[in-house]
Amino acid sequence: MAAVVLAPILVVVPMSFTNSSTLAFPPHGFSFRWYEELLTNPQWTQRIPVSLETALATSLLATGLGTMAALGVTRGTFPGRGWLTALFLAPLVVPIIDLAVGDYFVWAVGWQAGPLQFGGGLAGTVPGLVLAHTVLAFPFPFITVSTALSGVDRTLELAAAGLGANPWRTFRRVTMPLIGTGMMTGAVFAFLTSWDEVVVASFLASPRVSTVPVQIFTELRQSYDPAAAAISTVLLAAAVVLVGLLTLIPMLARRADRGPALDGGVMAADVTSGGAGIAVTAG
Amino acid sequence: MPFLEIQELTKAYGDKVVLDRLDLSAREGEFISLLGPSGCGKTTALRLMAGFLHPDHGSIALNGEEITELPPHRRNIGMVFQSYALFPHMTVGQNIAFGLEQRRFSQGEIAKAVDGALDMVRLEGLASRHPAELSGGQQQRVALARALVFKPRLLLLDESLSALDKKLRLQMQLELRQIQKEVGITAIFVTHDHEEALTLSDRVAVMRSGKIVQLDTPENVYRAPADGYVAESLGETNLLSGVVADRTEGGFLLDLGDGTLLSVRSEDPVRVGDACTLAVRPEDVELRAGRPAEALLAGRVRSIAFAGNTTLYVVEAQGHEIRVRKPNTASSKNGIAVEDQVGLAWAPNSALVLLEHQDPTSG
Repeated sequence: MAAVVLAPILVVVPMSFTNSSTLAFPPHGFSFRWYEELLTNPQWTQRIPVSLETALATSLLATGLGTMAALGVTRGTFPGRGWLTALFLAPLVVPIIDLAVGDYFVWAVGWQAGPLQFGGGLAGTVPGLVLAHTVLAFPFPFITVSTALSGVDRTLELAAAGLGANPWRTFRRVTMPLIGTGMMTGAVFAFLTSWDEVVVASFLASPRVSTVPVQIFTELRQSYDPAAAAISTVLLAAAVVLVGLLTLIPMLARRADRGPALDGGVMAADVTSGGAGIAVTAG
Repeated sequence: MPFLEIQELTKAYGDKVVLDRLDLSAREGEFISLLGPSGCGKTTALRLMAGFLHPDHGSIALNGEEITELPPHRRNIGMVFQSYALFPHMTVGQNIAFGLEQRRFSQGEIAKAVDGALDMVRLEGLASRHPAELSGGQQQRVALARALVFKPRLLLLDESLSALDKKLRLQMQLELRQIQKEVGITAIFVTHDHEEALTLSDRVAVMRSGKIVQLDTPENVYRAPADGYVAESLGETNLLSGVVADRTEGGFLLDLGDGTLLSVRSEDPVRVGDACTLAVRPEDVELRAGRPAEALLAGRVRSIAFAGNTTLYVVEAQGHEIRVRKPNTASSKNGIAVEDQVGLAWAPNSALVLLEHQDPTSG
């Protein structure tokens, strides 16, 4: 069972170290030449920043919107909250190709009704990719923050208001620190959603501005370029590190809860070992 | 003019009227308890004062200023919650400083005020602890310090002592009252515990179905309850219902429905046939072995429960269950046992006559 799950994931790792000029398994010889290729060939060096920018911006935007939506649905008292929740979760179940076509017609082509225009002109731009990916990534922070909020005692927010904090200060000083773990978790999932997304990105990418996964897809269809295996390995490593961080967040939060006075030393040690872990995985 | 003035405060959820044209006023520095069972509207009244709820009708004024429409963060009212509601991610010091920070005090002023507040609740040196590291009583004190440190105009306490064990609760009652007097703040305290209300308050407001039934000093609500409901709200009481059978010199004879006639001293202008309830506190009933001549009722002891400083006797007297509570002193052994024949009596002025039209059990 484990082999079935792991084989397709791990097979690319040895292949990326091949010395041959086409992808093959088992790999021929051993070299870092395809990793050097990643750092020198503009075809890759231009894609990596685009992917990173898109994923980071998507993560921030989706987490911000997801948090607001979660607050509205869990703290609001307006009717139709159930329907709204279903709508917010829809990107999880709508077929990806529908979203891709939809995103294309909204962000690349745009809607026009008389003098009003919405979207359009964003094909081949980072903002276009970010907006499209935010739609996909939005449910993750929405879910994690909703869950976190349901665990926050409402009387804490009332207490803050009673002590003179306006709604924004109440959120900043009381609610947000208590749902921080949920927001971070959502942000990581949102980042990963964008980071390895191919279908939607391929609709909105241009030859000049494209993401790493789209480039891998194109490369593999045209040629068996081992550089694609090398960049896949890097993507895999990044995902592993981020998910590893996720398991670390609650641990750190729990320690912070108990107060730095008691076990600040342990906490510092944890952070260093975590850092070491990242270094090992990435290398 | 009263310091706190609440007029016709009304709040309903759907069809259910929780608060029904409530009027309440308090003098500056006064400690008033809202006493009643759950669902009587006392917590709703408190939340309306804090601004967490908006009334359907009515007004709240503090020191002459109308605050009904102010959002909670602009009311300058301190509140202590039943669950304390301490911020778990902040230290004790940060919790107490929170209200001062919202009011843009300087760091120096905040540090000084926090120290003073910790001093006041006798928690010196615990500023860097987190709430989870404190005992229930300590958390209670932090919540009180946090609610008072920014010098609010009014202090609201929502069942604030009920989460503590009994011994600690009694101690905190005294401390709370002492601090409230020192600070001189007007306080509204919500509770379902009549002993707490009687111990702490300048005046007690007994509530039922969204209304205040009686608002008076602890002594008066206890000794002169407006009706049977109030009498029962303030502790154990024996209620004997019947019909006026005949008028006598300075009183009347009450027929308890089974032919038992009880002689009642009363100046009320009753007529024969009037329905009437007699309220007698268990500690006011005298218990004598045998069948003494001066007994108002004769009965048989059904159970005896020793409760430390008092003993509770439940006596069955002509179909009525009468509770008698006697203090236990070193010399108070009376030799009465279960199944003994006893006579019951009480001083005429300790039995309260409640005429039926005032009695809430009928409506």
